[in-house]
Amino acid sequence: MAGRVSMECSTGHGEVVESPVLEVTGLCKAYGGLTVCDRVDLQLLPGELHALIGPNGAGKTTLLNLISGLLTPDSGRIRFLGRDITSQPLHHPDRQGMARSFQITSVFPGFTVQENIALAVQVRAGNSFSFWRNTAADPDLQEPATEIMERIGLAARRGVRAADLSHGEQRQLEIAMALALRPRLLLLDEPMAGLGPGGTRKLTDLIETLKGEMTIFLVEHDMDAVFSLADRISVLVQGTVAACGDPASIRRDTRVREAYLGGTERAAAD
Amino acid sequence: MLLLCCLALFPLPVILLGQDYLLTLGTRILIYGLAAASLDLILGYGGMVSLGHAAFLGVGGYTVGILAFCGYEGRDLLSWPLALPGTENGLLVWPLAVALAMGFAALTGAVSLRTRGMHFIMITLAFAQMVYFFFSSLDSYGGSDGISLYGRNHLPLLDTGSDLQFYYLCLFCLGIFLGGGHRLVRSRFGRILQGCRQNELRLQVMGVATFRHRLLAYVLAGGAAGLAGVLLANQGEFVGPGMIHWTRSGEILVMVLLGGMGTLVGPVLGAATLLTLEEYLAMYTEHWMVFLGPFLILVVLFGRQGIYGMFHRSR
Repeated sequence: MAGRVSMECSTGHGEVVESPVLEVTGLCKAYGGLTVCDRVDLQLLPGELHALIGPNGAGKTTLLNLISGLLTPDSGRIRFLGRDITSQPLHHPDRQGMARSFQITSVFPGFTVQENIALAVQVRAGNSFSFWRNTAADPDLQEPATEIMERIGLAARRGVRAADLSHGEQRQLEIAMALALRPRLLLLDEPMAGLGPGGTRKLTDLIETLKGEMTIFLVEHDMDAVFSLADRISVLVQGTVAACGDPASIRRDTRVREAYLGGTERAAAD
Repeated sequence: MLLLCCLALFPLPVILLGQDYLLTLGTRILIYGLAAASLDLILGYGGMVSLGHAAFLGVGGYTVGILAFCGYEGRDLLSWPLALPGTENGLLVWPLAVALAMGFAALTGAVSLRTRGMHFIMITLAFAQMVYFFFSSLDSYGGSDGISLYGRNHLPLLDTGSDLQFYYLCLFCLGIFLGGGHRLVRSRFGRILQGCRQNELRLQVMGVATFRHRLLAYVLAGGAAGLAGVLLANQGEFVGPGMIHWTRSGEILVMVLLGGMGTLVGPVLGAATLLTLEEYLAMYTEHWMVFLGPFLILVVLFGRQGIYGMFHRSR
């Protein structure tokens, strides 16, 4: 790894004042001889939308799984809101405030839209050792769920089982459930995957409205969406952060274009 | 609700017609209904396919049997560290039996719930067979012959020796479990439990310690099945290793599938169907299973929620 370049990541405003929401330092993960995550450093600042791009197999989803606790890193540190969560289990209280969506839709197929979201609201509320009260008649769960459904645009489909939703609606539900956890940090794993152009535009608009409310870490292949949404972009190539900066500087970065955009002029064209 | 009313009225025609043996069948249906409904709680809602549910019947039943046996023989169950005499007092025996069944569920569940799918089926089966062979080889308590009781446990205000009163006692237990279960599956805890069946990973990523929830459900189901074991021992005035054998667990599983899993009430219908068919088909041929098999296949193929599903749709 002689050619590895240490990269200072600027915010585009020149100063870093606030302490980061998430700080990843020297993160490594290998499967046997295959290093999928190689000394990754990453800082997510409060309120920013930070996009992660990179070619297939660059280790984007692995990085997301390491951050969200599905995988344990071999070495390195992950700090969330100032607390070390590197090897904390998924249900550890220090992880509270972090929510993620999945690349492959992961909802509760037998529950209706409303039940799915209400379950997430319930998880956020914390206490699930309650055995008698009917959740369907509990305003503490149903009112926030209704609010989120209206915001996401699923209110008309509230009674439909998640399994019977269209793919695009399932993607919406996926994000709605993450939002119901009222996260400080939202990790989105390719939310546009499998959506048509119309669906992508709708979802881009939705994510746009979330900007500023929470810190968002967006892993995405759709370059139009990434470049229109992101405050900063990190480029992951073969498990290392090859570049990091604001969209304009990433567009200009020649190494990025070689490694990722494959010399096409697509990114530069728009 | 309708089912409970039907079951409550069931003894009337039976007594009027003088067919007392039907009351015994009815009682057995209620008891197996309770066992099957408790399995449905973890299977239909929690997605835990247990093939060792009869172990809880055994723990409950043998608590009744061993304590009663010590009572007759006039010897102590334990002489050290404290002397524990045998007893037939239901107020002592029944809660103890349920507590032991729950304790057994907590111990075995803590191990087996770490596995999934086929492994879970095999590990629950293994635990149940361990209990089976334990009681089979317990020679001071009947060994493979089991223990015959001289009478049922005593309860205040009730004549448990009366089949009619015992029937209503079983109905009461079943009613409590179905009512409580109905609330439970709609509560926050129940939502998590059902979420575990559908997509446990998502719950974990949301930050839910799913293991605790599944274990608690397993313990509750074990306690209810333990109570069914207590009732079964009292009903037949006999306990034997047969009530723990894995084929018994299989029967309970069939009741759940037949009646409709994830419905709580369905398994009671399943128990009623299976036991009634057994009773009547066995009159014609000892190979009654030959007829039951195809029937079961038809129900599972065409009724997605078993008998309960057919009944529910036609209404």
